[in-house]
Parts: sequence; C-alpha cells; structure tokens
Amino acid sequence: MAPPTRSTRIQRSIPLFSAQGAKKTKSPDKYIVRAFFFDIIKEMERPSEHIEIENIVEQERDPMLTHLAEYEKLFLGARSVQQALARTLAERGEEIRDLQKELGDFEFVHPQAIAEARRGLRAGADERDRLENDAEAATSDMVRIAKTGARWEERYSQISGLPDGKFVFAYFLGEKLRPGPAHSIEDFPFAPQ
Amino acid sequence: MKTNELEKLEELLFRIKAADERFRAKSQALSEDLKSKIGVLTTAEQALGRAMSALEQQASKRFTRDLKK
Repeated sequence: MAPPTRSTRIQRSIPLFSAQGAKKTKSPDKYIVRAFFFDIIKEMERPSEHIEIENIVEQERDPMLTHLAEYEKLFLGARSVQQALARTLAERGEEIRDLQKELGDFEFVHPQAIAEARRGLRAGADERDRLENDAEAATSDMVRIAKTGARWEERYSQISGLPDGKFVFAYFLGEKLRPGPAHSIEDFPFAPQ
Repeated sequence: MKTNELEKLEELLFRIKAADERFRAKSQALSEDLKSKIGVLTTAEQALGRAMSALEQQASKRFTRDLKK
C-alpha cells in the first residue's frame, strides 16, 4: 500500500530588508531570497511531499534578480511535481509486483479469472512504463533548464557581484539531476540553519 | 471452490482494479502538470535569455563608458 502523501503550501513574503542581515551584507534582501529557496529545497527533501510555492518574491529591487527568482520558483515547482511523479511510478511498480504475488496464491483455484487479472496487471505495468518514459523525457528537459539557469545565474553573478547567484541550480545539477559530487544542503553558505 | 477463497479472490480482483484506476488518475494528472510546467519554464527560459542579453549589453556599455572617463 502506498504511503499517504501530503501537500505543503509555501507562501511567504520576502521582506525588503532584514535588520540582522543588513549588518552583514550590502544587499540583504537578495540573500533572504536565496535562503528562502534553500528552505524550499529542504522541504522537498522530505518524502511524500508535494510542494506548492506561492509569492516567493513580492518585493525585489533588482528586476533581473526578480526574473531569476521567478525562473527558480518555476523550476522548483516543476521539480516538486517531477518528484511526486517519480514516487508514484515507483510505488506503482511495487504495487504491481505485490499484486502479482498475491494472484499466485489463487493460480490453481480459478485459472480463468487469474489469467484475466494478469492481463489487466500487464496492461497496468505497460501504462506505468509508458509514463516512466515520459518522466525520463521530462527529466532531460529539467536538466537542460537547470543548466540554462546555472549559466544565467553565473553570468548574472559576474555582472552583479552576487557570490551566491548560481547555487540553487548548481545544487540540482550536482546532486539531484545527474551523477556528480555530492553536496549537503548545509554546505551552501546562505542555506538557512 | 470454497466460498471463502472465492471471496478472497473477488476482493483481490477488486483491489487490482481500484489500484489501477487510482494510479491512472494520479499519474496522468501529475504527468500533465509536469508537461505544462516544463512548457512554462521553456517560455521563461527564452524571456530570461533576452533579459540577460540586454543586461549584459548595458553592463558592457557602462564598462566602455567608465574606461573613457
């Protein structure tokens, strides 16, 4: 039986300034936006979680950073659905295996009904495989989008001097979407503690 | 066949059908949602590319202007 899923809705206004952050950086609001993204990523690490993100950036002085933040928000939303789909497919695979096993107990009791049920399960497995192919294609798109995001964040970082510009996408490229060096969320300097 | 076994088999067949319907509804919805979100992201990708190019041009002009000073 698949574990119950629950949905988390994240809604937060980003303050323009943080009194505490203002002492540390020249542009505290930008760092707060980054920290919030890592907050979401942390939420996404939890199993059976479907994140809905709203109003990430309500106040932002830099239009380009707003563009980037919006792009990251869209990416994180898609990533959350991608994770939910992957979990659903994995659970369905297990479910089909379990049901096939259970059917085996009735193999000699009612062969005709069992044969029909097995055909139904095979059709279910085929449908699952088809959706898995779709999910793999979607993952390729997500990798492309994350690579683009990482490139733009890096370019923006060079122009604006923001040192943390590329970390959100770097996290996914390095850790989640392709094999690479492992990073911990705590490794990121602006991740919330 | 014993009545008890038949009942168990019926219950199993019912569960198979219910699981299939549940999966189809959920996975189709998620799959469609993901496709839609990727579509929006692809559009945003292009818009951001244009905005970034404009920003780089501005930065380049500013740099040239600063050099002349």
